Amino acid sequence: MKALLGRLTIPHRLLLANTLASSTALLVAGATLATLDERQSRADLIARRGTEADMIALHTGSALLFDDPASARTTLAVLKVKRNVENACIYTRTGRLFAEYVSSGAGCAPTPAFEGGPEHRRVGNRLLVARPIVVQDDRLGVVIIESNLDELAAHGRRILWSGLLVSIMAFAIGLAVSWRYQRSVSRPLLDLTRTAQDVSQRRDYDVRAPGPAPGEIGILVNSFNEMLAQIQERDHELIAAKSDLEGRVAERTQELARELGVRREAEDEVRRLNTALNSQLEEVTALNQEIESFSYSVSHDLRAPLRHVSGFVDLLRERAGDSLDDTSRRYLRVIAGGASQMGCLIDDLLAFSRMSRVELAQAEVPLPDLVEEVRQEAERGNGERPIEWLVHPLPRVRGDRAMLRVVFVNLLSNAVKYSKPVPAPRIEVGWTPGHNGQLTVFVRDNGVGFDMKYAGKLFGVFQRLHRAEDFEGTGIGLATVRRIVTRHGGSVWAESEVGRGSTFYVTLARTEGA
Amino acid sequence: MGLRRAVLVAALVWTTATRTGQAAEQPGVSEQEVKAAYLFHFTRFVEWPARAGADDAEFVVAVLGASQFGEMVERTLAGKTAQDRPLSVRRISQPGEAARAGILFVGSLEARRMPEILEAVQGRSVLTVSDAPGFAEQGGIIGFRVVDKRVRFDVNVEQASRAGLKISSEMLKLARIVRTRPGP
Repeated sequence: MKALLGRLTIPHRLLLANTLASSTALLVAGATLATLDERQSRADLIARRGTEADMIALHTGSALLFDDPASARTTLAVLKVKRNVENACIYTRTGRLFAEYVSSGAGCAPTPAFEGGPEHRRVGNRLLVARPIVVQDDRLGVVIIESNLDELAAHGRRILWSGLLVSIMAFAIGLAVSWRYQRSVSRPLLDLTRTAQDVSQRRDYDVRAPGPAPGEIGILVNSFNEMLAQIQERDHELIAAKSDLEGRVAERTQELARELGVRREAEDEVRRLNTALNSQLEEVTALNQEIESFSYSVSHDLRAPLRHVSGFVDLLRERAGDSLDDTSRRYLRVIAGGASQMGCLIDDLLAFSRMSRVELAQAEVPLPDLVEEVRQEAERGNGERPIEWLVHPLPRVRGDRAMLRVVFVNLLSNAVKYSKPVPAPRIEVGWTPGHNGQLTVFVRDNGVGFDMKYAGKLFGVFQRLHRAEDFEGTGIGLATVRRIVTRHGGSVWAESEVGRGSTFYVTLARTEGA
Repeated sequence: MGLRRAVLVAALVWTTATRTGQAAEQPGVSEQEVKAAYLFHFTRFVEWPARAGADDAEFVVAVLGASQFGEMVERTLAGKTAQDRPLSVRRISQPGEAARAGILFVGSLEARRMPEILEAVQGRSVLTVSDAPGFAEQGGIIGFRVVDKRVRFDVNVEQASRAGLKISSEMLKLARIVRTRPGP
């Protein structure tokens, strides 16, 4: 039923609603009228029979008084025009049947069904109406008219049929009227629906729902048309904006293509440069290895002649020491010192080149232990001058313990060495955390410092910023430091100012969880 | 044989009783009683002129020449009223005594001096009733007859209106209407 209702169009729905409403109204009104009419016609029938009985009672009093049943029968006979009266009976005061009229049926009972007062009774399909026969206050008897209810039934049938006929006519007229009326409601709606479908299917915003329509539907149609107008306007704006946007996109695309070309050229350039750089790097590496193997062999080969020099100087000093004059002996000392110095140089060079070659051990190195060990060592070389040490708690790092030891030996001994001229030397060791699991350890002194314009030369081999007379050293220490730190994946640099001290920074890999 | 006679008599008596019973409302009511009752019933269907005996306190029913019936009428009408007045029965012997009566019943034995009696109430509103045969035709108003063992009556409407009496159609429809026949 709901599915059926759902498929109905608006005209049919309106029609159905009107039809249902008017049918219900007709039914209710008809049933009410029929009930009222049934009641009324029953009352009418009773009243009619009563009147007839009254008339008979009035005209049969004398017959009763003067004992003339024939006259009473004549009076009763007027009832024969009443088709539904089946019989009428007059009883005397003592209950004897005095006169009767029988149209159909069984006739009169020998004794009256009523005591005498005006009354009526319905027995099955029979109506009994009784009226007393009174002459001047003397109750002489009773007349009882018995009739069937056929006329009631006939009347009911007549009412039913005419009601049905009227209903059908009213229904038909109502249907016609409501069909005409619903068109005024449904046609604008249908037009609106068609317009909406046109709009949604063809995207044609030029169409308009036809008007005018009455009431809210008119408002709806107008609103819809206004909406269409707005959509149309917006559509135009959109189209304009779209073409504008397309233009801009094309422009921008060209720009981008141009930029892309430029960038590609640049990339090509970079790639070319990289290739060149790589080949140069290979060359440099090869060159470096060559140099290293050369310096190793040189250092190694230099040892033997040097041993000869110092050995024979010692022999000469023992054999002819006493015979030589002071000047000759001074020359011998200078030769021995030079040979010794050269031995040191060769040792350092050998150590330096070893640093480049040996395998790195990867282990956890506790910096506090290492630094303390190296500090004590450096303190011993210092003599009696007091140094104020400020060593912050240090973390563990990852690396080769022996090599890292070399790093700190160089850094701390340098700090001690270059602080010697200062009246209150002070050396600080600390660290700061860095990115990617790295950390930066620094060693700061308040020593003589250096000029920052020479900072680039600081970590080169045999590069010295001070004269050997002022500070002893070979000029290989910081180069070694850089070599070790670089091999650990870190870097090293320095900051300084002449007369204000120096700070050396070393980045190292931190151990996980440290 | 005495028994046989007795049975016959009894049967006769019963038959008579039954016949009389048919004639009246109730079995055992005599013709005389019915006639006496009819006299009272007439007062209900006849309208007397207002002036007739208006100053009298009673409505008089006079019975002339029928002393036995007179007694019965007295018994029947005792305590009843007519025309809003108590009924009073007078047994008279001279017609002149009936001048102020509402109803004058004339016994059948008085038939021979009927003209004289009617003469006496001429011009007065007296309802004359008699069971003398042909009474109404002779100039009386109501004459009793027995038809089919029932008491019926003739009414001389002409005489009634001459006497100023209005007889209800309800009563007239039960009566045989007669006219005055010129006497022999």
